Amino acid sequence: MTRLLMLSTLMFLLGGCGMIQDVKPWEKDQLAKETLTPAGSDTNLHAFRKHLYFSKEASKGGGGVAGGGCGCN
Amino acid sequence: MRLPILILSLIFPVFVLGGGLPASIVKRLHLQPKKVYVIDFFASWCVSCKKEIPQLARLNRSLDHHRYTIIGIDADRKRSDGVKFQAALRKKGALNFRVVNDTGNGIIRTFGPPGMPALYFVKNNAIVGKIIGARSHVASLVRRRLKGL
Repeated sequence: MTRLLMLSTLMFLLGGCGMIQDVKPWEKDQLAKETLTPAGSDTNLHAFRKHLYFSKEASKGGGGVAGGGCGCN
Repeated sequence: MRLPILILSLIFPVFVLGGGLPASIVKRLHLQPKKVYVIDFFASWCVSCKKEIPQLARLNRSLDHHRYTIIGIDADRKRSDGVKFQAALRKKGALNFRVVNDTGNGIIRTFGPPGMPALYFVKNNAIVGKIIGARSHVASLVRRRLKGL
Protein backbone atom coordinates (compact mmCIF):
# COMPACT_ATOMS: atom_id res chain seq x y z
CA MET A 1 0.00 0.00 0.00
CA THR A 2 2.85 2.36 1.00
CA ARG A 3 4.74 1.50 -2.20
CA LEU A 4 1.69 2.20 -4.28
CA LEU A 5 1.19 5.51 -2.54
CA MET A 6 4.86 6.46 -3.04
CA LEU A 7 4.73 5.42 -6.69
CA SER A 8 1.58 7.41 -7.36
CA THR A 9 3.06 10.45 -5.55
CA LEU A 10 6.25 10.14 -7.62
CA MET A 11 4.25 9.84 -10.83
CA PHE A 12 2.18 12.85 -9.84
CA LEU A 13 5.32 14.92 -9.16
CA LEU A 14 7.06 13.80 -12.34
CA GLY A 15 3.89 14.54 -14.29
CA GLY A 16 4.56 18.20 -13.61
CA CYS A 17 7.78 17.96 -15.65
CA GLY A 18 5.68 17.30 -18.74
CA MET A 19 4.33 20.81 -18.51
CA ILE A 20 7.79 22.37 -18.94
CA GLN A 21 7.98 24.10 -22.32
CA ASP A 22 11.05 25.21 -24.25
CA VAL A 23 11.65 28.93 -24.60
CA LYS A 24 11.39 29.64 -28.31
CA PRO A 25 14.04 31.91 -29.92
CA TRP A 26 11.47 34.69 -30.40
CA GLU A 27 10.43 34.51 -26.74
CA LYS A 28 13.87 35.41 -25.37
CA ASP A 29 13.12 39.10 -24.89
CA GLN A 30 12.96 38.69 -21.12
CA LEU A 31 16.32 36.88 -21.08
CA ALA A 32 17.92 39.70 -23.09
CA LYS A 33 17.11 42.32 -20.48
CA GLU A 34 20.03 44.09 -18.81
CA THR A 35 18.95 42.95 -15.36
CA LEU A 36 19.40 39.32 -16.40
CA THR A 37 23.00 39.74 -17.51
CA PRO A 38 25.77 38.69 -15.09
CA ALA A 39 26.60 42.39 -14.70
CA GLY A 40 23.03 43.34 -13.83
CA SER A 41 21.70 46.76 -14.68
CA ASP A 42 24.59 48.61 -12.97
CA THR A 43 27.67 47.99 -15.11
CA ASN A 44 29.85 50.34 -13.03
CA LEU A 45 29.20 48.34 -9.89
CA HIS A 46 30.00 45.15 -11.77
CA ALA A 47 33.29 46.63 -13.02
CA PHE A 48 34.15 47.64 -9.44
CA ARG A 49 33.37 44.13 -8.15
CA LYS A 50 35.49 42.60 -10.92
CA HIS A 51 38.37 44.89 -9.96
CA LEU A 52 38.05 43.83 -6.32
CA TYR A 53 37.95 40.16 -7.32
CA PHE A 54 41.03 40.55 -9.51
CA SER A 55 42.92 42.36 -6.70
CA LYS A 56 42.10 39.71 -4.09
CA GLU A 57 42.29 36.55 -6.19
CA ALA A 58 44.91 37.53 -8.79
CA SER A 59 42.70 36.08 -11.51
CA LYS A 60 39.97 37.35 -13.76
CA GLY A 61 37.47 36.32 -16.43
CA GLY A 62 35.02 33.45 -16.64
CA GLY A 63 32.26 35.51 -15.15
CA GLY A 64 30.02 35.99 -18.15
CA VAL A 65 28.83 34.86 -21.52
CA ALA A 66 28.79 36.50 -24.91
CA GLY A 67 25.68 37.45 -26.79
CA GLY A 68 22.55 39.47 -26.48
CA GLY A 69 20.19 36.77 -25.31
CA CYS A 70 18.87 35.95 -28.75
CA GLY A 71 20.75 32.65 -28.90
CA CYS A 72 22.56 33.64 -32.05
CA ASN A 73 26.09 34.46 -30.87
CA MET B 1 -8.07 15.22 -48.13
CA ARG B 2 -7.71 18.72 -46.63
CA LEU B 3 -8.08 17.59 -43.01
CA PRO B 4 -4.82 15.55 -42.78
CA ILE B 5 -2.89 18.46 -44.35
CA LEU B 6 -4.44 20.86 -41.86
CA ILE B 7 -3.54 18.59 -38.92
CA LEU B 8 0.04 18.14 -40.21
CA SER B 9 0.48 21.88 -40.73
CA LEU B 10 -0.62 22.50 -37.14
CA ILE B 11 1.88 19.95 -35.77
CA PHE B 12 4.85 20.87 -37.97
CA PRO B 13 5.66 24.50 -38.71
CA VAL B 14 6.76 25.31 -42.26
CA PHE B 15 10.47 25.19 -41.54
CA VAL B 16 11.17 22.73 -44.32
CA LEU B 17 12.33 24.10 -47.65
CA GLY B 18 9.66 24.02 -50.32
CA GLY B 19 6.99 24.23 -47.65
CA GLY B 20 4.01 26.20 -48.88
CA LEU B 21 2.97 29.09 -46.68
CA PRO B 22 -0.54 29.11 -45.22
CA ALA B 23 -3.02 31.38 -47.00
CA SER B 24 -3.37 33.55 -43.89
CA ILE B 25 0.37 34.39 -43.97
CA VAL B 26 0.32 35.04 -47.74
CA LYS B 27 -2.61 37.41 -47.25
CA ARG B 28 -1.12 39.18 -44.23
CA LEU B 29 2.25 39.76 -45.93
CA HIS B 30 0.60 40.60 -49.30
CA LEU B 31 2.81 38.10 -51.11
CA GLN B 32 2.63 37.85 -54.89
CA PRO B 33 3.53 34.48 -56.41
CA LYS B 34 5.90 35.78 -59.11
CA LYS B 35 8.07 37.88 -56.81
CA VAL B 36 10.93 36.72 -54.63
CA TYR B 37 10.71 37.83 -51.01
CA VAL B 38 13.39 38.10 -48.38
CA ILE B 39 11.66 37.85 -45.02
CA ASP B 40 13.78 39.10 -42.15
CA PHE B 41 12.73 38.20 -38.62
CA PHE B 42 14.09 40.58 -36.00
CA ALA B 43 13.32 42.07 -32.58
CA SER B 44 14.46 45.16 -30.70
CA TRP B 45 16.21 43.02 -28.06
CA CYS B 46 18.22 40.99 -30.61
CA VAL B 47 21.74 42.46 -30.80
CA SER B 48 22.73 40.70 -34.03
CA CYS B 49 19.49 41.78 -35.73
CA LYS B 50 20.40 45.42 -35.07
CA LYS B 51 23.67 44.87 -36.95
CA GLU B 52 22.03 43.10 -39.89
CA ILE B 53 19.12 45.49 -40.58
CA PRO B 54 21.29 48.40 -41.86
CA GLN B 55 23.09 45.96 -44.19
CA LEU B 56 19.75 44.80 -45.58
CA ALA B 57 18.65 48.43 -45.99
CA ARG B 58 21.78 49.11 -48.08
CA LEU B 59 21.04 46.01 -50.14
CA ASN B 60 17.41 47.13 -50.59
CA ARG B 61 18.58 50.35 -52.28
CA SER B 62 20.21 48.38 -55.08
CA LEU B 63 17.56 45.69 -55.57
CA ASP B 64 15.27 45.41 -58.58
CA HIS B 65 11.98 46.00 -56.76
CA HIS B 66 9.92 44.51 -59.59
CA ARG B 67 11.51 41.15 -58.81
CA TYR B 68 12.62 41.29 -55.20
CA THR B 69 11.10 42.63 -51.99
CA ILE B 70 12.43 42.64 -48.46
CA ILE B 71 9.88 42.39 -45.67
CA GLY B 72 10.79 42.77 -42.02
CA ILE B 73 8.88 40.91 -39.34
CA ASP B 74 9.27 42.50 -35.93
CA ALA B 75 8.77 39.78 -33.32
CA ASP B 76 8.52 42.18 -30.37
CA ARG B 77 5.56 41.17 -28.25
CA LYS B 78 5.17 44.72 -27.00
CA ARG B 79 4.15 46.79 -30.01
CA SER B 80 5.54 50.06 -28.59
CA ASP B 81 9.04 48.48 -28.26
CA GLY B 82 8.99 47.46 -31.91
CA VAL B 83 7.63 50.76 -33.18
CA LYS B 84 10.22 52.74 -31.18
CA PHE B 85 13.03 50.51 -32.44
CA GLN B 86 11.92 50.81 -36.07
CA ALA B 87 11.47 54.59 -35.80
CA ALA B 88 15.04 54.99 -34.48
CA LEU B 89 16.39 52.92 -37.39
CA ARG B 90 14.31 54.74 -40.01
CA LYS B 91 15.52 58.10 -38.66
CA LYS B 92 19.12 56.98 -39.29
CA GLY B 93 18.21 55.63 -42.73
CA ALA B 94 19.05 52.14 -41.54
CA LEU B 95 15.60 50.72 -42.27
CA ASN B 96 13.90 51.30 -45.62
CA PHE B 97 11.70 48.26 -46.14
CA ARG B 98 8.18 47.34 -45.07
CA VAL B 99 7.86 45.94 -41.56
CA VAL B 100 5.01 43.89 -40.16
CA ASN B 101 4.60 43.96 -36.39
CA ASP B 102 4.08 40.38 -35.30
CA THR B 103 3.05 41.09 -31.71
CA GLY B 104 1.05 37.88 -31.42
CA ASN B 105 4.05 35.95 -32.85
CA GLY B 106 1.72 34.13 -35.24
CA ILE B 107 3.96 34.68 -38.26
CA ILE B 108 7.24 33.72 -36.60
CA ARG B 109 5.61 30.67 -35.01
CA THR B 110 4.55 29.49 -38.47
CA PHE B 111 8.10 29.78 -39.84
CA GLY B 112 9.59 28.45 -36.57
CA PRO B 113 13.21 29.64 -36.94
CA PRO B 114 15.65 27.85 -34.61
CA GLY B 115 17.39 31.16 -33.80
CA MET B 116 17.42 34.88 -34.50
CA PRO B 117 18.13 36.74 -36.71
CA ALA B 118 16.46 34.61 -39.36
CA LEU B 119 16.07 35.29 -43.07
CA TYR B 120 13.75 33.32 -45.31
CA PHE B 121 13.55 33.39 -49.09
CA VAL B 122 10.01 32.98 -50.41
CA LYS B 123 9.05 32.35 -54.02
CA ASN B 124 5.68 31.18 -55.35
CA ASN B 125 4.39 31.42 -51.77
CA ALA B 126 6.81 28.71 -50.66
CA ILE B 127 10.05 28.81 -48.64
CA VAL B 128 12.97 28.24 -51.02
CA GLY B 129 15.89 29.14 -48.76
CA LYS B 130 16.91 30.43 -45.36
CA ILE B 131 19.81 31.97 -43.47
CA ILE B 132 19.68 31.39 -39.73
CA GLY B 133 21.87 33.19 -37.21
CA ALA B 134 24.15 36.20 -37.33
CA ARG B 135 26.32 36.69 -40.45
CA SER B 136 28.91 39.44 -40.71
CA HIS B 137 28.34 40.03 -44.46
CA VAL B 138 24.67 39.18 -44.72
CA ALA B 139 23.95 41.56 -47.63
CA SER B 140 26.43 39.89 -50.00
CA LEU B 141 25.20 36.49 -48.90
CA VAL B 142 21.58 37.44 -49.62
CA ARG B 143 22.55 38.94 -52.99
CA ARG B 144 24.31 35.69 -53.96
CA ARG B 145 21.29 33.63 -52.92
CA LEU B 146 18.89 35.90 -54.82
CA LYS B 147 20.88 35.45 -58.03
CA GLY B 148 20.24 31.72 -57.82
CA LEU B 149 16.46 32.13 -57.47
